[in-house]
Amino acid sequence: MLCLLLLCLGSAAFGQRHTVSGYVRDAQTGENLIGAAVFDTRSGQGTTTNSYGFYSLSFSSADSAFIVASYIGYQRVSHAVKLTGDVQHDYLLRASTSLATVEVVAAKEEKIQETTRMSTVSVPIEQLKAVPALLGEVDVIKTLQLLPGVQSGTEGASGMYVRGGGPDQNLILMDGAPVYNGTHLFGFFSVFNADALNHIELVKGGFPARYGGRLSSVLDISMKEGNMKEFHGEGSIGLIASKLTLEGPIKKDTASFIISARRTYLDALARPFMDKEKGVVGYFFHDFNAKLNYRITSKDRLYLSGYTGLDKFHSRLESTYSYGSEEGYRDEKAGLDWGNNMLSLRWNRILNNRLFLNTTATYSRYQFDISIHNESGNTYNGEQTHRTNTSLLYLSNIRDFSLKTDFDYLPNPNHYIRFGTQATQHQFRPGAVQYTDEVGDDALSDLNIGSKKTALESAVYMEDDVRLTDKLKVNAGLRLNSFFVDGESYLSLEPRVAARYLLNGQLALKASYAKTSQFIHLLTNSGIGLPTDLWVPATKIVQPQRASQVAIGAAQTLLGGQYEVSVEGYYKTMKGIIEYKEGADFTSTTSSNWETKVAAGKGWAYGAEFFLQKKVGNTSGWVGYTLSWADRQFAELNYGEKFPYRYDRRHDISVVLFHKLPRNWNFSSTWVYGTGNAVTLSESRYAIGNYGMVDNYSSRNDYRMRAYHRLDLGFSKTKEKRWGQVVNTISVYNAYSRQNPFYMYYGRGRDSNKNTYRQVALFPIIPSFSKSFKF
Amino acid sequence: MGKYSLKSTLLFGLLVSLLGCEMEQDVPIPAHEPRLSLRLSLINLTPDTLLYISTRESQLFVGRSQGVLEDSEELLAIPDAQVELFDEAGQLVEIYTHTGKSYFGGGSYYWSDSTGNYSPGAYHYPPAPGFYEATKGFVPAPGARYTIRASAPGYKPIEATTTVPLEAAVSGVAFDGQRGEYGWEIQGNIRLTIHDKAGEQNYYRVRIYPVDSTYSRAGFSEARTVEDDINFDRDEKLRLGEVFSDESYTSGAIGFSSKISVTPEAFEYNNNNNNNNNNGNQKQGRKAKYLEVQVEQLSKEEYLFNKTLEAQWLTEDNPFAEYAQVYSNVSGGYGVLSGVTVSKFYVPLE
Repeated sequence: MLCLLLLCLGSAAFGQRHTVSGYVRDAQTGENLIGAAVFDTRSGQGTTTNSYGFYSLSFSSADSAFIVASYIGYQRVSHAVKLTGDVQHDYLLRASTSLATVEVVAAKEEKIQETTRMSTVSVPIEQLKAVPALLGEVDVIKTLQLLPGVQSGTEGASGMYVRGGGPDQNLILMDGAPVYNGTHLFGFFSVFNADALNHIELVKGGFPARYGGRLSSVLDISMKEGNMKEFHGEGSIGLIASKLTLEGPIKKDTASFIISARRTYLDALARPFMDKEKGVVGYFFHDFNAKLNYRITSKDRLYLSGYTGLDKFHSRLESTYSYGSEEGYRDEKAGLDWGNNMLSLRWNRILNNRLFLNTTATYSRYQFDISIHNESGNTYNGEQTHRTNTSLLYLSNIRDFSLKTDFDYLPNPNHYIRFGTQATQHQFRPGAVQYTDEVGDDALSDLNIGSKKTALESAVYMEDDVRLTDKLKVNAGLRLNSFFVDGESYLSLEPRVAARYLLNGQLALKASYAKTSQFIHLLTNSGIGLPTDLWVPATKIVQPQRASQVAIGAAQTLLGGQYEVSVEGYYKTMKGIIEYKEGADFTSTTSSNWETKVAAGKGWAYGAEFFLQKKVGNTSGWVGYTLSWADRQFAELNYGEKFPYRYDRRHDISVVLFHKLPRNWNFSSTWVYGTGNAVTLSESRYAIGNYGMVDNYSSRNDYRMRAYHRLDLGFSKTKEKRWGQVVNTISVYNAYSRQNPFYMYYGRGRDSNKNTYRQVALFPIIPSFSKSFKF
Repeated sequence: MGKYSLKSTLLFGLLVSLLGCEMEQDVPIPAHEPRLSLRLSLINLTPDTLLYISTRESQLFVGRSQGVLEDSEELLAIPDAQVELFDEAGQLVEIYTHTGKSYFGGGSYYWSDSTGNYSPGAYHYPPAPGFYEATKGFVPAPGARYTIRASAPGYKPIEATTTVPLEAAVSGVAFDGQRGEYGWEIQGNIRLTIHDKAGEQNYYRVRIYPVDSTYSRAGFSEARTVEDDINFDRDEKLRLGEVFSDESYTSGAIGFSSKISVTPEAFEYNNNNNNNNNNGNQKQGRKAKYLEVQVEQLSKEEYLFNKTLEAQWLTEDNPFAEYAQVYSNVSGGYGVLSGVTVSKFYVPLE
């Protein structure tokens, strides 16, 4: 109702005469440019393109305007407009060849001190690809971990812990569809293939009302749309994986496609060296991204995008024997599979020059399963005398169907209003077991447990990015979330507000407040990161998670915009967060008993983030530092006492450097330092007779692993070919081979034969080489 | 030059990767002050050898703690502790003396002498420092509160308090046993109903023993639950010998039902022959006629201790699991003093 009223009153209330609107696109590929700046040099009015490259500028009295469209890494385009009526104009920008001008920090050409948004970072894909990578595999999430406020979990892992939040508190969206497990290979690589991506934005706080459903962050990833102009491809060959991306027009300037595939091949390389009677083991992961993009009219556009990814561990042991007339065989197979499937259908429509509509329908599913299959038998004189067949499958999944409608309404340059609604049907199956045991033709056991649970989550929101004065700009919004499960309903009314106050042209003070709620939980073990984490809903017994976050900060540009510096402090409270109770683990957790295995509690996170970035020149990069605290308190854990979160990290430092060398050489390096992860250790033991020895543990997470630090280096050389471009990259992960702790265990010392704690490190120095190409 | 540098880099990387990634880490664990530990359940039965044999929690053990990095496990038992039990009025009701014998586990094997008396085989309880026995034969009363105090030279004294629970109200005890295919075991469903008191948290355990026509338990193995299917939700099944709470039962009645297996013949050896070869001395065993069904109402301490200890065992070296701290109610030390009240019922075996 409020939205309709606003629409009706909009033009009249704001008294705007003429509007210039359209898209900003890449001239060579036709890709929409997200977050590009569009401003009128005469009036000083400006805006940025939305997630689909759309912009709208309204003028109240001027007769003409001189509009400049710009985007970092692209050449500016200007255009004089006569305002005799509404104008629709698309700007086509040509990419600049200089990587050194690529920007990492928030809000593109809208200066960091000008936007109301804080705690928000965009990472250009080209920059992402330039960061040195483990085994040469470019990784979106590992790059985000280099930003202040974003922490990695354990060594090499791609998990994200944002401002003291848990791994489930990050809303990861790929073309609007949620991705529930963003990692491959137990978290060492993320599922996002950089070649298929167009834009990445991470929101750590000050959440606009359009985002909801998670407490700690939103990672909004947009896939490329496919080149509208001509056919292109790119790919790479690395030590463990290769990938290929193809894109091009289906009908020039009307429809395009992009497909991208990636697969590891360690299993194929190792297979010839294995003997099936001694056992064959293998692992691979693959990704497949595809997207179709159809411009129906100048006002309507349709996108269909999909993703499927799978990790697969498998082992098989086959054996036979022969004894006289008797022959026997045994076949043992085991597997661990996990993966995401996602489909997103989006329809953009420009309803009028000031009103943009996007409707999204999505499907998302994540599943992991563990399977064991044993078969054995024997024959006597060729006739079967005995056969057994045992099969076990443990699986867990979450599946979503979602429908979302978002409106962008730009009545004048002083208001940017967004409103919309969303409904999601979740289906949870956290731990199902199928077990059969047969001897001959007789079934000894046939067990099938694990029920599905559905829940409906819906939301309605409205926000306005309003310029109150030349100095004061506010983004105020409200979001209403609801969740229905098992006849129980939860409501959450969430005010969101962010403001900036310009002290001068270069320095701004910022503040934000956001209340958030989350109706789904992730049951995760505090040990090593595995895909076996279980997604479960809030229920009658287990409450939703809720959080409030306050942030204040300052942002400034220095030396004519060459440097940007920002400082932010935040304080976040969380309640309704869950953890496994002591002694619980996923191996005995099913859909019917998980509620009895969890404890609910509260959390606090606070700290300060410092970010200094050099954006232009042959040498660029950034320094990030986070000073933070993250605590938890559960009535049923640690005797009810407050304890540090496992990833409570007092100091976290990242230094990232890019340098352009002569003759098309590029150098990049990263150095990271982090306080060691918190762990719980046994401090003493005691005997209790027939019960053996009992370990007496410290207060929860009372000890620290060694500090983590690592230097990565990368060199690349770009060669121009007649058909395209080749980039050879050498990267060195952990250049000084720091033994960073992955986990600790209690045992005997190697030399001293005394009791000791030992730490296991995963990755020493790892050099790698990759060759990528583009045509 | 570039090629040689690349090769050298790769070789160096390979060499380093072969060095292994494990190392000892110095953890600044504070020096540990050793403390006494104890384990005892106060059971409303006469504390004798038969009780010690079948219920390990009934025999007092006194030990001590040591820092996790220390290495002297043999010293963990305390043989010279002074241990006394007091009632709520502060009266001394029991004194425990060190014997260094552990009886638990010897319950399956009995020696009989020429007069037909049965006694547990001595070889089943080798010297076990730290084990104590009651000297006064005191039988704790249901509903009463007791405090145990222990001290030993060089250690701070410890104490713990518990209340022995009231007797459980039980009805409908039934067993439908049938002899198995080979005749050496009897399987069937045991059923009973525990009438749980509303408004309070109660804890239980059920144990079953075969007994002969004189209701003698000597020599018979404890009955066990039969697992028909692979088990994924341990928490939800009631099993013999395992503690459970009334948390999931809101109706006031807990229906205990479990498929169990019983060996109906006692293992006995003839004491008239001193030959240590057991097989040679095994005599014809007595036959069981009844099942002795023991329904135990437990104090909260007994329940928590068992659940947390089980969790610690299950999660040891399990990377998927959270660590588990074992419950203790011992002030100044470790371990647990708990209370157990046993109600006995008899049903025909076949």
